[in-house]
Amino acid sequence: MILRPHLDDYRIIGYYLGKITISIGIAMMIPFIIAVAHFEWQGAVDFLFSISFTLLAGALLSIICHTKKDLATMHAMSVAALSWIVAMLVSAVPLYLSGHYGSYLDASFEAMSGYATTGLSLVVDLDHMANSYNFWRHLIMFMGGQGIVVIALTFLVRGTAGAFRMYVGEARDEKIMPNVVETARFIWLVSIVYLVLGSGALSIAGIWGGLPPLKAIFDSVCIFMAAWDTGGFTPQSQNILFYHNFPLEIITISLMLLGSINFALHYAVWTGNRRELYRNIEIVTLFVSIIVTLSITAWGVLRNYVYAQSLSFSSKTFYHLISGHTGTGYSTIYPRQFVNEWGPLAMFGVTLAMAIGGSVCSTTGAIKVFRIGVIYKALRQDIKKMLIPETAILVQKIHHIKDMILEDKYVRISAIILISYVNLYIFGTIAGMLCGYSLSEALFESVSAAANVGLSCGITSPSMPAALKIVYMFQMWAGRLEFIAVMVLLGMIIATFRGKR
Amino acid sequence: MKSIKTLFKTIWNAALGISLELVLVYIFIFAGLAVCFIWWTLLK
Repeated sequence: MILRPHLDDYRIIGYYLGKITISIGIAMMIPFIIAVAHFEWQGAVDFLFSISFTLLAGALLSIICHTKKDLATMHAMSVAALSWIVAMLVSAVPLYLSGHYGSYLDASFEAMSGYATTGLSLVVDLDHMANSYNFWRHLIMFMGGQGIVVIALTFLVRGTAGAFRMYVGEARDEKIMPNVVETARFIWLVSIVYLVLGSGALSIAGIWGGLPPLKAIFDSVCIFMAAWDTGGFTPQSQNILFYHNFPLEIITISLMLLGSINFALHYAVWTGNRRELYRNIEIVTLFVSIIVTLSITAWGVLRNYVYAQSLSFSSKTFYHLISGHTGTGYSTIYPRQFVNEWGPLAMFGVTLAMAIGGSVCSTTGAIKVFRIGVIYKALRQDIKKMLIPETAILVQKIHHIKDMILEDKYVRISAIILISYVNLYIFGTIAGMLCGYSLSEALFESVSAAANVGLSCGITSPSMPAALKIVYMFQMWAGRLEFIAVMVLLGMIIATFRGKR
Repeated sequence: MKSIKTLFKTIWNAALGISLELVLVYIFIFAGLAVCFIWWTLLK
């Protein structure tokens, strides 16, 4: 029997949503400062309006729903799921006001793509977008990668048991430190250390490649935020291809790989547990998966005689494979080249890499290598069981931070998430095919959206059907939150109408 | 004195950790490029 939620349940959800809305309003002050510093007065006015509107909405929600009650699982999951919708709606306001989007739906698509660290974009005339709006796109991506809840936990919410449930709702099921607020702060520490190192290296590569120093620094910070959070937005419409800069490509590959590593693994290695780097199931599975999917992609590209030189073949193929596998979406070719030059086999290799993704508790989306590793180990265990005497006991271990016995519960949850993702991929593929695209194109774009990658074969554009935009927005949202929070929210909506008192 | 030693050790461990992570990333990059060159040699 489902019970109808009480008024207090809605108040708890409203109160925490209000806090999260306030934190987004505060974040908007950064592009406002940039607008003022660059004398972009239209941008300054737009951001001032957006800040006022967002802070007012957040404050009203917090005051009206004020409560001292802690979050139960149902509330925490609903807050996690709803906060992404609210964040999308308010963050789209300055983007829409910029005049670079055809409609508010397009601006919302861009905001959801940013928060979900996808990188699919509907922006028009990006190369002439003012710095403040462009920075806001990248900041949205950085916040989404870190986690909207993580931001609220760091600054505005106390570290209660409910706060931890909210953190779990955002698809971060690993508590790195005993206190969830300390965990959130550690995630920020790692990101800021790499922000300094990564932006510095990218700036040097940019200046070396001929960019003016100020432009190099601005672009480097933007590119870092999108690469580290495996997002995929760039300040230029031609993506990374614009720079024609091999060192910059190598640095972005490094950042994409670093961004796809589990924060718990960063913590282990940074605190002296260095052997974890080559023993961890995620690293081993990621390595094997890259080699396999890269081989499929390379074979597909070579069949079509696209590149005349081995270096251009290797750099283009490897770049897009890593970009897809880590869920970033950076590109050094034009979208239609996937269809017209690479062909179906190479597209399938990249699609497979995108579908698998990076590590759990990182900034990547998709099924994740941990779950692939667990399912592979379970399969191996079952085959072994058939080969040994029935009386023998077989214990299968996996290593993730510590040695763990492979229990059914790990296999079960991994299989559930895997099946959910496959369903989401199929859903988007059918939607794409209904809009008239071929199977390989529809599958590529659907996996790219649902796995929060951002590589496009040319479907995503301002002129695509509005229904398909909404489907991709749903895929990005559900894929980023890994379904549980979305399902709980759906359950709560059903309970509101059909639950018993 | 002890807290300074602990702080130094923490920074040292973090710096070593970052260096090893970068080494791991470059192993991935070299392995990936090597796979590409092998396929190029075999199929071209």
